[in-house]
Amino acid sequence: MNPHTQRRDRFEALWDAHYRAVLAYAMRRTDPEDARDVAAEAFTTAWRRLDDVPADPRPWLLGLARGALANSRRSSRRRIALAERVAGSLRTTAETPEEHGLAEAMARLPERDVEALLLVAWEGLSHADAARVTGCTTGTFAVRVHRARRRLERELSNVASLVTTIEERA
Amino acid sequence: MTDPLGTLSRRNPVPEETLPSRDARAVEDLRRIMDEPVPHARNRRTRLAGRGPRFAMGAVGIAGIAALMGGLFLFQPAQDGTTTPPGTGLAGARWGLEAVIGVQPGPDGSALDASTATADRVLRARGRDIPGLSVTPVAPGTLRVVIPWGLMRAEVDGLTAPAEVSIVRLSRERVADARRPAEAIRWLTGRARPGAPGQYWYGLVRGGTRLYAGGRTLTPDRTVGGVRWVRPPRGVRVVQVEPAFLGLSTGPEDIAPAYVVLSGPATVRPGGIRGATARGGALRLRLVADVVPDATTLAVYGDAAIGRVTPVAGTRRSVEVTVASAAGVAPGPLPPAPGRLQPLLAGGGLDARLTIDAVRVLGDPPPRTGDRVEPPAAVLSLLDPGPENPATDFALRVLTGTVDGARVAIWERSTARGNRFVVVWPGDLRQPGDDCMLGPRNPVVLTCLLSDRWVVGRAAPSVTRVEVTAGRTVHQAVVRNGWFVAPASGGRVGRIVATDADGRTVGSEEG
Repeated sequence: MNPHTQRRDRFEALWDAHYRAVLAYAMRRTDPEDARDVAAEAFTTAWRRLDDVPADPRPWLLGLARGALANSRRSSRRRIALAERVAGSLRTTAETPEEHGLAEAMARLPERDVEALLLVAWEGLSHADAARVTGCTTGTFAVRVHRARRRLERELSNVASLVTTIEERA
Repeated sequence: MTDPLGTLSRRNPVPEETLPSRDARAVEDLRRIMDEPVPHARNRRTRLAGRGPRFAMGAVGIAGIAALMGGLFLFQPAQDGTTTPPGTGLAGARWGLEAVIGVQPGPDGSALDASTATADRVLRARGRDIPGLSVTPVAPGTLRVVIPWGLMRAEVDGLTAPAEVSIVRLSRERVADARRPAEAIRWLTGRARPGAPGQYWYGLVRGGTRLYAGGRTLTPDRTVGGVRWVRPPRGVRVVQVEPAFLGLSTGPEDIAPAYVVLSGPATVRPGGIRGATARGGALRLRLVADVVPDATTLAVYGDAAIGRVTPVAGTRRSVEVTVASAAGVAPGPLPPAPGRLQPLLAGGGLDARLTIDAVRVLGDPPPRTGDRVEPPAAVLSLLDPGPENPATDFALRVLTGTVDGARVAIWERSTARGNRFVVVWPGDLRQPGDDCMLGPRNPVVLTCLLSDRWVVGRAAPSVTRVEVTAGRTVHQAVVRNGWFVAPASGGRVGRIVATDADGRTVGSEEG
């Protein structure tokens, strides 16, 4: 088998194993059409840097998608805040007051906190893998998640108080 | 709620297993990608991101220190409203910024002419992503820079931000190690001579874990002992230390903090760096060949941190080294952030000091109008994120209005990195945003924030009416002071149309 064919085979295997994860990552954060572009850009970079693909490619690919997403937001000059997008998604599926509260609390978090929580909750990554996605150390990411959780709990408490106050006034 | 993360996990909106690997669009993308020619390893280049250097240094934790060094936090946005006829380098823009940049040769003794020429090259390289930017030598030591569509002095700051990356022989220059910043500081201050000519400072940033000490001269002034002492950002202490020594962080601050004190001049000063490219987690520097010593003992340092250097390739004209983010060696803003540092070093290192001597607005900028009333404390805290991005102007309430039966307000404030805005809507929800300005790509109307409830954006002064189409519904936006807000209910937000007082369509944006 010639090197060119080998390269294509390797890349197709990478695609088949991880394209859906990369696309899902992007779709959770932007419009479906933009998400397709983001996934394609991530894999274009992967094609160019196929020799650099690590043994566990998923965090690396998600990191590329993260960068592509940031570029896409900058170049379009149009953005939906991640927290607000997540909150909107949660509102549409919320069934209980607690879940509605979670949506409102997520909307109040800084983007970095939201991203840290999502990498764990939606991407299902370990702290080590999530750290590779975000380009920080595992320890830093662990601290980031810990602080994000604390802020989320605080906002949940604030939202609950707000709801109580409104209900009392009503 | 017992486990909010668990609830979040269960509400994953796009489960991976519901997506296809190879539907028609995916197959098309896959084929297109594999049709790309395979790059030769030595020719790989990393694509620069977005706006590049204008805000390149802004996000790093050490930006407070950088601001201290350059007095950046003292800057005010240029809003003198000067109107200048077209033809002054605005490249077709209706407004822009003109800056006069002073160049002072660095300690390597370069001639003023040579330093000016180097600064010219460096500024052009840093500003290559800014459409229409021009740099013109006016006299030895003076450059004129025009940034079309520029409005705030922060945009000039981004070009002139110091990126003083130097390289030392770590094995030779390391004179002390410390496990805590206080130990390094004690070592440094123990050798300081009060009243010595040339004052040096150190700072402790972020909970006392990040050390940067010595090695930089503050700007001479007429204040204290011939030195202008500037107010340090919160969390930074300033004391006098011996100029010959430099203290830096060397370990990850939250895992294995470590500190080192270096002595002696840098082996390779910024002027020996001819260019930089970023790739993955590494920064590749191209060095003048004759300044490179034994590469195996090199370390590179920047604004706070130190990173290990790996030699990559060399020719008779230049040598390339990679600044790697090796664990335990590279904690700070330098090695883990090649993407941030690379634009500042794209044109090479600059062994000269740049000063912003004057800034004025050219052309016909949009006026900054609104109600100058004190915002609520919660809003004010969001408008002023702190020493890393200090506010440089007062807060304005630029819009209040009733949208879809609810009161909405927008507050805006200039900061060192750009503008920052906060949208306040019912339920006491506050959504902050950064850097939303009309520009060459969107001169009339620009969406800044899109939620499932609201569309918020900027509109040129000529715009009196904005219509937002969401699904089949057309909403009229409230337009005030160059901002608009409209409901987003009714479906996916589509076309946004701006019209002037005569009812003419003057701009639009597709959703």
